[in-house]
Order: sequence, then structure tokens, then C-alpha cells
Amino acid sequence: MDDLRYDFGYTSSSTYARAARLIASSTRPGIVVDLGAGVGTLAEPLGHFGFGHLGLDSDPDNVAAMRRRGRAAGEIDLRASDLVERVHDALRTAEVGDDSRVAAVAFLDVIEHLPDPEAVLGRARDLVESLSARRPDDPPLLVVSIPNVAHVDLAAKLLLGRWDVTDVGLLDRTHITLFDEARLDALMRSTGFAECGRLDVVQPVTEQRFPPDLPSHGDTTLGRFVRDVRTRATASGETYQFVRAYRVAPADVASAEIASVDDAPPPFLSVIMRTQARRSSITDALTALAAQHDDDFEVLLMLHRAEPEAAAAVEELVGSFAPELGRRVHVHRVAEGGRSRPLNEALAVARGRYVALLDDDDVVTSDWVGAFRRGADRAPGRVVRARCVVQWIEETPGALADFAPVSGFEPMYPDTFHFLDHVRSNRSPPCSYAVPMGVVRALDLRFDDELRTCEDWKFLMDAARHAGAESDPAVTSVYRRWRGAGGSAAVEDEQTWIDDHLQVLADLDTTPTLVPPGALGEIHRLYERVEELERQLGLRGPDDPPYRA
Amino acid sequence: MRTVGVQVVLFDNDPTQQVRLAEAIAAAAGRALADGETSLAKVVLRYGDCSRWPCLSDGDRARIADTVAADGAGLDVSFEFFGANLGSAGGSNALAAAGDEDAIWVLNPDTYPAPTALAALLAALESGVGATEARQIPIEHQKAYDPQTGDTGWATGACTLFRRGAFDRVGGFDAHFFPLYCDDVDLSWRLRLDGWSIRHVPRAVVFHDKPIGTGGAVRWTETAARSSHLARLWLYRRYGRPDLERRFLAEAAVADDPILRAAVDEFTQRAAAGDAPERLDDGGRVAQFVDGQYAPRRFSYAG
Repeated sequence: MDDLRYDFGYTSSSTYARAARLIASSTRPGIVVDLGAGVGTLAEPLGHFGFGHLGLDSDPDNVAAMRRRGRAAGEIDLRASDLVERVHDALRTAEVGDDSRVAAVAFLDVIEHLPDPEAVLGRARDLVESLSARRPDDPPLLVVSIPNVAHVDLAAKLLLGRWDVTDVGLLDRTHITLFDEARLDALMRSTGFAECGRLDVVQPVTEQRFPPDLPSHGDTTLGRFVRDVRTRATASGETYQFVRAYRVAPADVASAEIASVDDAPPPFLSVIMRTQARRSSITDALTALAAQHDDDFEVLLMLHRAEPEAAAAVEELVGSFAPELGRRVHVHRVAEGGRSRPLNEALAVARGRYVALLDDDDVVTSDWVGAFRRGADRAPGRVVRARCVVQWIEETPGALADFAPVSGFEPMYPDTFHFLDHVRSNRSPPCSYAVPMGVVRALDLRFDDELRTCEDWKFLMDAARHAGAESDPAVTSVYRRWRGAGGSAAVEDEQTWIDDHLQVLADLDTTPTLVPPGALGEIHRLYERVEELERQLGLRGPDDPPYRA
Repeated sequence: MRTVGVQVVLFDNDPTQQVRLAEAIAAAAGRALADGETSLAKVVLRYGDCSRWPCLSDGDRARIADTVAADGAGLDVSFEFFGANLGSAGGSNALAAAGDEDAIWVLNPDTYPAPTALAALLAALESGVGATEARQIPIEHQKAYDPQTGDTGWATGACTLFRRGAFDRVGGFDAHFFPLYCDDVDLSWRLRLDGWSIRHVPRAVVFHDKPIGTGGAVRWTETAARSSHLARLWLYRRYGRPDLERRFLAEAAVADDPILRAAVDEFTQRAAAGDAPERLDDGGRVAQFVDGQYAPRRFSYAG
């Protein structure tokens, strides 16, 4: 254990100070019943905020220690079925005041030591409820602290096959039940609590940073990659200890949560269609979706900054489709924000296994969803990319139609997804790929609202550099590009595209990128090609050393 | 137009796709019936099956009937099994003869009209207009039309609304010479010779389920290519272009294309036997042969 003596900056008093602060910020002063109080460490910080303390613990030595310091204390078995009565007895015996003075019940560093936390928390709920009846205007809180076993330091060690139990810390050898944030949330919800505050201990470096030089820890490339992925996956990647306050959830809230669970199986694909409801082309896009052979999809139709009349017309159009499509189209109005806002709002509600974009001026073949499905079946978890052709269109004011094609189909994009190609420029229009929602959720992928252009490219690259991409040979989409005034290509000037392109690369380059197998050979060949061209242009002599970037 | 007969000619089609098409037809009919701009009062739906065996089971037909009855428009639907392959042209004629509606909406079985399509086609079927044609997606037809009026040289048979009076006056489709391909070109030109105009309606959208080939080419099957070659030769005959016929046959003679050869052989044999269309007086007034197409193009597809 000598190499465990790493100065990671955590002390248990950090948790108690935070718990006291959380209580003080959530309720008015009173007594805190500290269950599993140990030697009563919480009493002191609570005192700073004017709160009293009753320490209850199963270890007589701890109880004696608290009493020696003049603190109110008592012995209690947390697993006792009559926990509620025993706490009320202890309150009376300790003479800390009547029940109505109890402001909170604390469970600090206790739950992970319990073999059946659900049962104990159920009784804790009964206890808090019984105390609430005595203090209805400011019902007591439940405050818990629990270590987080999904901390990035443990993720980094598991990656290399290590699970090091220690005397103290995240993997304290006395912990019986292990928690990440999701399990804690589920436990508290299932036992009838609703979170009302949090003051987690965030600790980027923990006692698990051993042995030294482990390649997945610290500032190594792998370490930075693991940290980036883990901290994006959930907000608690660097949370050492959850310190959270709860109130008893009202019965109607608890039942409403259960009722809100959507029993319908999620669709294969969520199609995000962003529209400002300015063009008739949306009829094309919706009709092409209605004609899909694989109809296991939902459409999130995002009316973005649409004029009310135009928005109503789109809603009316959706309503006039056959119910088989209409009931799968969910219209959302987004009044503000840039181009990414409606996309991100759609991601937040998307239920599909995969998500794809279809702008209101593009159109697809009947195999569009099917090709994504085939790719997903072949390579689950990867981005699926199908072939796409370009058709140039232009606005036709004063004509029967408000736009018209001016070209046939141009195969402007490569047949397969090639990561390095896409570093140079986007070779996959938004309608040509689908991204697994598992990747979106795990990496917290968003469309960058700071960008005026290229937001789809950044999204695709961020997904593909983690998940890779599977290509399907079918041509399934027609990316309609506007000639003259029309689409975003024309609205934004050339310099904006260049600036945004460089910004995307700079953003992605702040963290390590995984490249697919074969990429090193390709990069090598690119360097060779540069050298060869420089020789041909007379920029390099035969004896010059190999090119260095 | 107070009544519309919708007709779909089947040949070994997928029942699921037909149910979906029925849903689309019902939605489009419902919207047109509710549209105050039209005087539409009734829509009926007729299927004619050219397959060797019925491609729709009793259950499929019941599903379609339930769909069109339930989806707002309350359409009457009928199914006829022809027991022979009449071709799309012959099947369409037979279905047209079975009804007396003011307008005939011919739809390919591999289409999906937008809910706004029928109302838009009806609105464009003004006095003097014999047929109104929908805009196809995802492969929009490249032939030219007048951007202000929609007037165009011919209407594709995939999704066109015909005025019955005009359709009947010219005898409908020519199922003998044009059973599958160019039946729409031929009918359109005969309508125009009879004084009717043909209109393209960009706001009437129909999805036509055609794959896009690698490189953006529009794919042709062998059957389609052969029928199309033969139909071209019949059009040259009927509309008085022996010069183009001679050139086509000369080029075919040196081409290394067995499908083209097969089409030319059939043409030659039938023509020698007197089985060829009569030349129409004044046919050149309406017929256009431009770069291998039957109308000027706005743009071109590869393939």
C-alpha cells in the first residue's frame, strides 16, 4: 500500500463539509440525525451553520467517542426493521429537542456498506415521512454521500484489466454495494425520494492513480483519450463522491414518473428534419419518407424560426398524409437559436436506435432507411453511410414551382466513407449517414451552435472517429444543392465556410482521435506524394531529408 | 370534375407496397374531396391485375378496402383479375372502360402520391387541358415544360390525370404497339393532335420507386430497354419520321447490343408482316424527337 500514498487531495472531511453546506443551503436550522455517524465528524461543520447533531451508530466505541466529546449520540442498528421507532426513541433519549426540530437525516458513506440498501432506504423514507408530519412547512431532507465507481480513474484501470481494491477510497475493501450515478438515481427514485440539491465532490485525481506510469492514466495520449470519452459520457466522470439531498417525493410525482414511461418499442431510426417552412420542397421530403419500404422510423420535424402561417401550413400538410406516416411525425416548434438548436432539441427527444438528418430540400429513395438498417445489422454501433448524389436546383420565382432542378445526378462524393478524406473536407452530405444513438448518448454528441456552417460535418467526424463507419453501396439520397441564392452554401460567404472548417478541425484536435486501421499507411503515402510533388516543382533537392511537418 | 376513377394496373406487385399506395390514394382523395377549390364529389379506386396468379390475397384486398374506407375519403374499391398480361396500357384501358368518372387518374403500382397531388392535378385540368401530369421524385423527369403554364410535350403514365372525354375521343392507350413503354408518349401526342394540351404540374408530387444507379445513372432493366427500343421504332412510323427510323436501324446493325438487336428483329418481322402503325396525318406537328428523347430536356441524367 505504500504506493497508494498519493496526494490526491481528498479527505473525508471534504464530504462532510459539503454535506453540511448542502443541508444549510436547503433548509432552516435544526437537528440533523446522522445515521452511521462514525465518530460524529459531521457535527463540527454543521455547527458552523447553526445546526445541531445527533450521531447514531452501530459501533459502541464510536458512540462512546462521540459522547466523550460531549455530542448527542446513541447506538442503532441500521438494518433493524423498526428503525423509525428506534430513531424517535433516540431523539427522545438524547434530549436534543422534540421531533419537529429535525431538519435532515444524513446517510454519509453508509449506503455502500449495506447489503440491502433498498430495504434500509425504504425505512429511511418512512422515517423522513414521519418526521415531515411534525414539520410540514419545512419537511426534513435526506442527505447521502456515496463514492462513484464510474470515476474516470477506475475506467482507465479497467481498460487495462485492473480492479484494485484498497483500504480507503473509491474501492474501499469494506464496500459491499457499488454505485454509479445511474444506480444511485434509480435507488433513490425507487425508494420514493426526489433530488432537491447536490454538492458532489469532484476530484479529477484519486487514490487509484497507481501504479505510476500506467498508460491509461494522466497526460498520456491514451489517458487523455479515456478522460475525454469518460467525461463526455456522463457529467460525473470526475465525481469522486455523490453528495446529494432529497425530499420525499409526492405520491402523484412518483406515479406520474411511472406513467410517463413510453411502452412503445423505440423505432430503428429517428429522422430529424429541420425546416423554416419556406419552401414547397418539404412535400418532396415527406412523401419520400412515406414511401420507405422500411417504415420503422419516426420523424422529428423541427419548425425552426418559422413564420406562424407557414408553420401552420406545414402542420396541416403533415396532418393530410396518411395516418401511417402522420402519426410518426412529431412536430416541434423552435423559436430561437442558430442552425444547430433544432437539431440538438431533436436529439434530446429522439427515440430511435439510429438518428439521421433529412433537410427539407433533400429527397431520398425508398431504400434510404433500409440501407441504414443493413449497415447497422452488419456493423452494430458504427456510423452507417450510404451513397449520395447531388442534383443542382435553383429558385424559380414567378413560376409554377418555387424551385426546379437544373442538372441530373452528379456523383460528387466517394462511394465509401473514408476517414482521412473527411478530414480534408466533408464528403458525406447530411442525408447520407445515420449515427447510432448509443454513440450520441455515450459521447454527448451535439451539433455545435457556435458554428454557422459545418455543424453536420463536425457531428459526423466526432461520431466516426469514435465509432468508425460502415458503407452501404446503394445510392439512397439526392442532396439538392442550390445554385444562386438558396441554401446555406449560398447564404454564408466562402470565408465563413473556411473559418468554420478550420474551427471544426481545431475543436476536434483538442483531444486525441482514433483513426481506423490502415490510416498510417495512407498518411505515409500522402507524405511521399508531397515529397514527390515538391521535387517535381523544384522545391526539394534529391538529397533533402524526408519531409517533416 | 365531379368524379375521379383512380386506376392501378398490377403485375406481381408486393402487397405491402400496394397497401401503402392505397393509404396514399385515400389521403390524396380525402384532401381533394375536402378542397373547396375543386368540385370533386366522388372518387373510386380500381385495381386490375395482369399477373399470372393474383398478386393480392383476399386478406390483402380486405386490408386495402379497409384502408380506403377508413382513411377519410371513404372510397369504393374494386379488384379485377384479368387472367392475362394486358400490359399497363391494356390494363389501363380495361379499367377505364369499367367506369364513367369524369377523370381518370392513372397511377403506377410503384408510386406514392403526396396528399396534395390529386387536388393539384385537378386544379390544373382546366378547359382545353386533356391531361395533367405529376412531378416525379426522387428522379424528376427531365423533359421541358413551360414554367408559367406547365404546358409540355407529353405526360408520363406513372401518375397522370386524364380528362375522360379526351381519353375516350382518342381511344385511350394503344395497347397493341405500346403495351409497356411510350404508351404515354403516344397517347399524349394523339391528345395534342386532337386539340388538347398536356400540363406538367410541379406542385403535384408523386414518389416513383426507381433506384438510382451507381454514378447517378438512371437504371434500365433489359425488358425495359427492349420495349423502349421497339416503341421508339413504332413512334417513328406513326409520327412520320422514316429518316430517324433508317438511322436508328443502321446504327443498331453495327451496335454490339443484343437487346437492341432483339428489338430491331421484332420490329422488322412485324413490319414485314404488316403489323405496324399507320402514319398519322399531321403527326409531325406534335411529335418531337430531340437527342433520343421525346421532348426537349431541361437537364440530363447519365445512363
